[in-house]
Amino acid sequence: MPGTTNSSAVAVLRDRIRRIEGVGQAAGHPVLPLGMTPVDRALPEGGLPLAGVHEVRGDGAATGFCAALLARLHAMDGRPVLWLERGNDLYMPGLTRCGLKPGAVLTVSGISRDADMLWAIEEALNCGALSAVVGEIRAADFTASRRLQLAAETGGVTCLLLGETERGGAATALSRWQVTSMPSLPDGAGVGWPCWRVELVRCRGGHLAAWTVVWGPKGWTAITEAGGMETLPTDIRVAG
Amino acid sequence: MKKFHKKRIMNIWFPWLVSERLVRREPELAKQVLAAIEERRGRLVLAAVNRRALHGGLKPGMVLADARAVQPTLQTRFVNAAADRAALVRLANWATRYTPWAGLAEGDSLFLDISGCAHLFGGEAALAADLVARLKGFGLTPLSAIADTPGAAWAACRARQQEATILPPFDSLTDAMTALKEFPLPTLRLSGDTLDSLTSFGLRTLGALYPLERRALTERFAAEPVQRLDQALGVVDEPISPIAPVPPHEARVACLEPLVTREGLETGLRTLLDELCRSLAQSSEGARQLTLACYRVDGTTARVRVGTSRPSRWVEPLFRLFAEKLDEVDPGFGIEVMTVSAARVEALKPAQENWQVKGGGGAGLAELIDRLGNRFGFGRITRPTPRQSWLPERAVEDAAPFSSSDAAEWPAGRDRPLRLLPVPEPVEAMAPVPDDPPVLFRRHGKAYRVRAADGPERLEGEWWLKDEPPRDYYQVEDEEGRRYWLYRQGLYEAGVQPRWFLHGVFA
Repeated sequence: MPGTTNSSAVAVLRDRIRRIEGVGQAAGHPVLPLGMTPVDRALPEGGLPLAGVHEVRGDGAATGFCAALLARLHAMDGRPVLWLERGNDLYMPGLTRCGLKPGAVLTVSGISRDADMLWAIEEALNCGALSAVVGEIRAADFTASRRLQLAAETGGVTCLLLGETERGGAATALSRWQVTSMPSLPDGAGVGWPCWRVELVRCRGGHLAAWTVVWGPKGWTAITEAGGMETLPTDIRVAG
Repeated sequence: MKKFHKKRIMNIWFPWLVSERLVRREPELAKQVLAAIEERRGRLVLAAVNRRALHGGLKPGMVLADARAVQPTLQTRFVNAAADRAALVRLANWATRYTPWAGLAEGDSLFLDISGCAHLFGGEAALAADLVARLKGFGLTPLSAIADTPGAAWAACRARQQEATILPPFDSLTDAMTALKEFPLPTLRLSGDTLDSLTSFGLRTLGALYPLERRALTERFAAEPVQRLDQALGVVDEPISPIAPVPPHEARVACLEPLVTREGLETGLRTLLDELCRSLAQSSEGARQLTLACYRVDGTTARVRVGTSRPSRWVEPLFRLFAEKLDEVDPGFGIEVMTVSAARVEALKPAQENWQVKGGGGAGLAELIDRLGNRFGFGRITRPTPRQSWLPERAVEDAAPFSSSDAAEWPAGRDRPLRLLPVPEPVEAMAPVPDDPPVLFRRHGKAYRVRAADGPERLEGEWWLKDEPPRDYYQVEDEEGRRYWLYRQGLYEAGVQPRWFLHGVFA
């Protein structure tokens, strides 16, 4: 069948290119489906590649996005998650709202220097007994981010780099997300369903796109511009 | 007489400690007639003299005026007992390079328990010679003696007054009595009054005390002479109180040539850890706190401490913990002796060991926590668990990383922010109607218009801990979609402006 021969040939070529590039996973690498169809379609092989470095930038919404990703990563293999924070203000009940189970998170607070943070992230990635590591870092240069990527592949741990500004960040991350807050969808009274604007700014082997993600009682849903409000699940009722 | 645990105690006496310490501070006093003076009953009196002064006819106890008449060129300095004691403490700490059981003794001297260590230095005579040589290198004049008991060593040191006196081990009580028979009575460590009374009875040597009836001695002079005699002969035990707590496990290595390179330090450290871990394995224990002490040629010591979150007795992880801190150790002119001691140990049964060695989750995570903890501080690594409290800042308990995670569930149904400010930030807020959420608030000079808000949620702390006015929390969303957690402290009262605070930020 010509169709299959073509797609397998393409897959083989992709694999060769990845190996030539030197950084990145082979085909058939485990991925984490995000549970939102439009987003999963944009990512290579239908999910977030594991054991690699990803960047999430933005304000408070980015923290929530990280927490949601961590919840799915922890649910997948049950190993604990390490959050390396710059200050001392991470609040567990808020993380539980995003789906993380109690006792799943270990935090290290007060790592204020970037050099210390990079060292700690690398140590944690080499450990291998965690499912994910979150590091709050301002910027990592090319060498440092390559080291982190190699450490992530060796240890089999996914790394999320959380940062605030749009500039800076790691140069060789597998994917870069920009998450900002958006006015919530009204649900009849008071603050409505939380909404984020999630933009995939860079992705190896994926398509770049932006979505509006709505947080409902059972998890999140992504709305594309094409779909609009009709694609919302039934438990998110929009008033007015 | 306790035979099953034969001890060998060394007493090192510094008869000129006061003057030598003064000379060390001011080297130009070395060639002078020097005395330390203090005030006694309204007069200035010599407390200690140096050798030149002694040969020149000055003695401790002489009045200063008389002393100046005898030696017009006399140099004097005031006695500083605290500094003298500190110098002795430093010497005791230095002496721990020979044995950890080094302690202070009466009369400017030190006790060292060298049972079982003499062979490491080639015998007691060699040990004494080495120690005395090093002390003389520091500008001190030590006199030492080795015997079976502290009392006997103290007495022998002052009776013989040689650089190294070695009394052979006592075979029996009669042997001990014969050995100590000729020592003069002042070498028994008696107080001044007791000594004067005994001397006034014509008793001059220890042997003179033997035939006296114990009951009579105790009735006349209280327990002291009998107790001191028994201690010297070994009838009762006299423990030495070491200057630093003695660790339960210690490994020690002495180098032929002083180490100056990092490779040398690493090799020494590996040897030490091998030995220490073997001794820990024998007693089924694991170390929680370890100290590496490097004794340099010039008498100073460098110490490095590491801690672990779970007991450990494997060489590689412990070596890695030390390796990060080895950069802080400055070899100086060279390191002669290295010791690693486990200050805190905990039981570690072989069953736990198998689980660790499997090399899976447990071992890797424990090691990671150790490395992060040694660099940032173990207090900063926590596993947040829920606590039963309504006050947001008290609702989370920072538990230790390896505490059991089957704790209570987090209370569901309440929306809580992702980031909670450790100290709530005062903001200015405007609410049109009491109990309604604010419509505008100002933070850092910037105005935020509220688009939608939830609340109020009244939260109060435990009244038995702190009596605070209740807080009304509101979740507000500004025009860009960012959500904040504000609270108003206190109820609306006449003439009182309510205070608003920002406590957290939502996702």
